[in-house]
Amino acid sequence: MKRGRRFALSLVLALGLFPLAGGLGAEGGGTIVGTVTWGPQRLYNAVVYLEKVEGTFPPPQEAAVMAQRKLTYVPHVLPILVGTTVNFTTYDKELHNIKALQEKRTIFNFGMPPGAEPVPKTFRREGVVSLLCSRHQEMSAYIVVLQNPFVALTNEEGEF
Amino acid sequence: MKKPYVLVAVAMVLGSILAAGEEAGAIPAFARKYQTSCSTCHVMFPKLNAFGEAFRLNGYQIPAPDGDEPYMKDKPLQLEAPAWKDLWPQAIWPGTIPGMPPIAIRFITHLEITQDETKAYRTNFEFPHEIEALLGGTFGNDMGFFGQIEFKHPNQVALQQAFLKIQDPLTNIGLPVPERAFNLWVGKLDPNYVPSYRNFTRVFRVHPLWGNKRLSDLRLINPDTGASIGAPTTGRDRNRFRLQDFQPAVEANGILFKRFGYSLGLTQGQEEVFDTNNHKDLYYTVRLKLGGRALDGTLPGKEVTIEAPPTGGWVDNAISIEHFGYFGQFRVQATPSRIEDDFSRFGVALNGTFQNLDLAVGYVFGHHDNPLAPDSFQGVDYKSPFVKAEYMFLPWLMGTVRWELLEVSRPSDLVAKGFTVSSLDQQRWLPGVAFLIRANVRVDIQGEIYSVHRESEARNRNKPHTLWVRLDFAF
Repeated sequence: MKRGRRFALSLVLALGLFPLAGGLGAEGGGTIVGTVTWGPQRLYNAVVYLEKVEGTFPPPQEAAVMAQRKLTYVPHVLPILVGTTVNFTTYDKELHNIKALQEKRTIFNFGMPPGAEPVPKTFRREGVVSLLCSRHQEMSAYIVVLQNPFVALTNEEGEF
Repeated sequence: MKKPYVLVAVAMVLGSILAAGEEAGAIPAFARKYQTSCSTCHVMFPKLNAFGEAFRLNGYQIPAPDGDEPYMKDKPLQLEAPAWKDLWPQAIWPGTIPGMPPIAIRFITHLEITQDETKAYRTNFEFPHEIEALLGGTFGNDMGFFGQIEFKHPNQVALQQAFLKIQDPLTNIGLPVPERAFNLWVGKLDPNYVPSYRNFTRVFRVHPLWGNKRLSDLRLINPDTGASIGAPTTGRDRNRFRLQDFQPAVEANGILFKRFGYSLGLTQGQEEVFDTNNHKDLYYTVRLKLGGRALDGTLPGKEVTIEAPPTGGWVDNAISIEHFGYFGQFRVQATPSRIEDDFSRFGVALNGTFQNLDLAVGYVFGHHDNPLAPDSFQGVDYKSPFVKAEYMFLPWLMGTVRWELLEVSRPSDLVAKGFTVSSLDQQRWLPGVAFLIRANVRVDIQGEIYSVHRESEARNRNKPHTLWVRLDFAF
């Protein structure tokens, strides 16, 4: 009961194909908008995506960025298409590391000293990747690796 | 093309839930944390309603299917990122501490008018009777804490409660134990033997006789000579155990099938920090609640919501059956030879709540093997039936009445010597009315009327009836 996080999703659905507003973009189709609630709250930074969309979706040429700034990861939540490369970079003057977990296993772990060059990593498996820093254990971020580009992040009102 | 599914990625939340509104903080620590009224959890504070009881049993967390987090308005400080949980035992299990200090203050003030044993009236201003610092909160999911420190005139400070609730420790490390089935509470706590007639969240001013009276209070009186047995003498002690005391304890408890609750505890045996012997007392409780909100907080066919209905959240049509057992040992003589008093208490209670009425009837009984050694080596029996009724006339107005009886038997060898009166034998009525001026400010007018008070009767004196007016507020 305490562990299961349940989200309510209310949708206003325009018929046809997608893309989602604010998502990674696709051509044609309609638009899905809605609100994500969690208990009594509207949920900020929730990832709303479509699952099992037919077709092949090549990853973008341009790398996404996950930064460490003022002892936090920025952005906190980063949805990407499978096969996307993410450049990990730091702006802090403190030593960090980047420890990435997927399905409870460490998939990489490397140091990020101040002034380090960006480190590219390509994500080839769908799922949620948790990012940690062993030196600052409160730091966290999530990369959501998706099969297709139809995705949106909710705004502060829980809307997407 | 296959039909696509719209999903919400749920695992990565998110640290950025919308902030609460700007309304003023409610009261005390839990109210501030959730920005909710006292009446969410209390009928007439400190008495808990069914939701408050489920909250307490859940380690001070809202027992909602969504978990506790979406209801918090005070954003906790994250000590470790939640994902560290995935690396346990190679990492510290992630937790939080409250964002704001989890402290509340309670003031209790009494006006006490007693007609004492000489029939003289005595009026006493206990302004204040006591001030309490109450602490409560959570350290993330599955761990709660509570503390209570009392300050009394003159210069008395007492640590009443201080304990940690570790909820679902076995489930959390992956063992196949159902959620809510096994928790571990450690510290100085209230074993809560009879939930429907509880000690420390009662509305009544005075503790129940079965909780308050101990064998060290027992004096056996010879009405012909006026002689008595029972006062402590050098090298001897009397059994100071009483059920009402908070005790250092380790308690395993849980909820099975939503409506059956159990606990099994090992306690110090007395309130003091250092035990008088090496024996640890054992207790168990069981309870079954039929109807109303289940012990795990669920309502049949309904979502658990946090709400404080302005017309009152006390209605919970249910019947509860409760039982406890306690097995202890107390050293009553250290020299020249050690003498232990093995004793027991059992209790059974039936509690029915229907609309505005809360009715409970019960019986606490027990036995002491050796309480008066070396004056007597015979045992005594302890029995105390009780009835209480509480009725909510209005959301802010409660009428109460309680009846209780205590009888402690006399060893036959001492009876043969003329000690036929037991000072503890009492029967009393406690009528009263309680009303809320605000949700956090309560006034009580209560009486304590004795129909039996053997010690006074043995001295041919008046029974000590008392009237209280109490002002109680917390913030």
